[in-house]
Amino acid sequence: MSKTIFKILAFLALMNCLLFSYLNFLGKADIQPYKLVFLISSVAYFIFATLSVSRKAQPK
Amino acid sequence: MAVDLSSVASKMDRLYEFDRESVSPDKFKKGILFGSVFAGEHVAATEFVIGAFFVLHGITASDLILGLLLGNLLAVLSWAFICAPISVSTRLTLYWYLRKIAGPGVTLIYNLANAFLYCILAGAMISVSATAVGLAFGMKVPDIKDVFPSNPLWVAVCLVLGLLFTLLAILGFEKLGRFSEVASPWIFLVFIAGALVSLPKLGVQGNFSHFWEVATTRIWNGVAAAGQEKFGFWHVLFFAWFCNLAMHVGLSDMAIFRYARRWSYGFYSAFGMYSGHFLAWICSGVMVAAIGREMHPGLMAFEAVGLAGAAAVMLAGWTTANPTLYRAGLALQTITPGWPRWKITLVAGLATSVLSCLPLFFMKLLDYVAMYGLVLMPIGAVVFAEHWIFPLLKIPRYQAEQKKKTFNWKVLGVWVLSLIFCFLLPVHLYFRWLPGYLFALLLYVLLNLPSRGAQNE
Repeated sequence: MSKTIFKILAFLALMNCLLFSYLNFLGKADIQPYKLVFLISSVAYFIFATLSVSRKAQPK
Repeated sequence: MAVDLSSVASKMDRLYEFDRESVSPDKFKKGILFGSVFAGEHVAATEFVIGAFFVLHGITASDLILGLLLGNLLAVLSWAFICAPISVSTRLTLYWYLRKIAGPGVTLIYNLANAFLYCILAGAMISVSATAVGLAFGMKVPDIKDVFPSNPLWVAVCLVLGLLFTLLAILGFEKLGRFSEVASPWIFLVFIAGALVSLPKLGVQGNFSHFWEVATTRIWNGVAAAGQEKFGFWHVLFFAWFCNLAMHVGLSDMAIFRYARRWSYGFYSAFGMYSGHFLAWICSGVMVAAIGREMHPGLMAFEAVGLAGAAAVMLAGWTTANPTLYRAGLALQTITPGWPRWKITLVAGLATSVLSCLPLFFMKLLDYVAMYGLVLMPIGAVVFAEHWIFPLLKIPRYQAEQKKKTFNWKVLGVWVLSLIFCFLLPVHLYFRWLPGYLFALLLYVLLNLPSRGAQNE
């Protein structure tokens, strides 16, 4: 269940990257704030995506 | 000599032992998995370079779009009608199928050729990553015409990155394989975002009404950069088709499609072709135009997306170089009996790191990709002939296996003669593989015609 949530969060982080790129294209987001948002969203994506694919250690 | 070869061959067999058996039906995979594998594999560091080179080679926008649409379609059809049917029919990797046809000696030579070509490819990936890392040090990227490095900082960055990638390849291939699964959707998004953000710099902002005008005048305007050959529709079509020649026509992807339920799963390759070899190439073309047509993948991604862009170029290089280094190590392990995997990966990594310092492979990536496919293509023709044409002509199959031959000299002869034929052809490098393939097919059938009707022992 938690993995599904991480997957959704990872997807949202990716969509945020795309959304701000589109806003910049429309002229509604300046380039420097856009780059910062893109970086933060990318870091968030990697954290959530890694958590969504990580495996729990097998009980011995 | 024969004894030595047998010993090397048996060691090589042990290395590939894990996939010796045909894949059983319970291990078949769903179609969509093939789509995701292809989508992940074909959005790589090379995409930053190839799409940009199309701009520098003065391709027009219409030639690019049409050439990529058709070339990628031909690549998909090659996977679907050549590679996948043989894979689902045999359920074997190319290694084991070639061993039946050509014998362990030829398979060994094929492996070594593959390893050498892999090392060069991984070296080019490290060079691409170096362009991103070098931004932090204000490093000057070699000129597009450079063969040897002229900048000590470039050499240092390439060597350090190469050693780092090698170390990571030694430490854990499986974990990195999982990391590349995570990274690939993000890298694809960096291509799309980078192009979107670069468009306003070229005069397209807010809507796409001027896109075609800008595309034809400022991006793919038909003017080649100084010193670059002018390309047209046929160059693009053939490049898109042969870009993965070793994988489809050359049958390397039998390793993937042997898990397919049906041959039609070959069509899932479209997920990789039209995301990586169509959209990503177009996006990198837009990005390079926005930085004044300078061949500098790190800078073009950094200018578009900032630090995340530079990180994407570095990660794309790393995630592509890593499995390439691993495969090169696996192939080279056949000639280093008793060496542990880490040691041979280290040797392959050191060689690759040195190769990455040479700008030649990175700056001539398009030609290298053409050579890579060309060198391995005749083996694909031999396997195709043996699998489909021999039964029709009642020529006995798998003679190397039947007669326990180390070398099937006919296969080796066809391989060498086809390459000589391709070398002598008076056409552009990109167009040589197709006549070469037909030549190899015909020659291999002709050489085996005398044994027509003979019974398999």
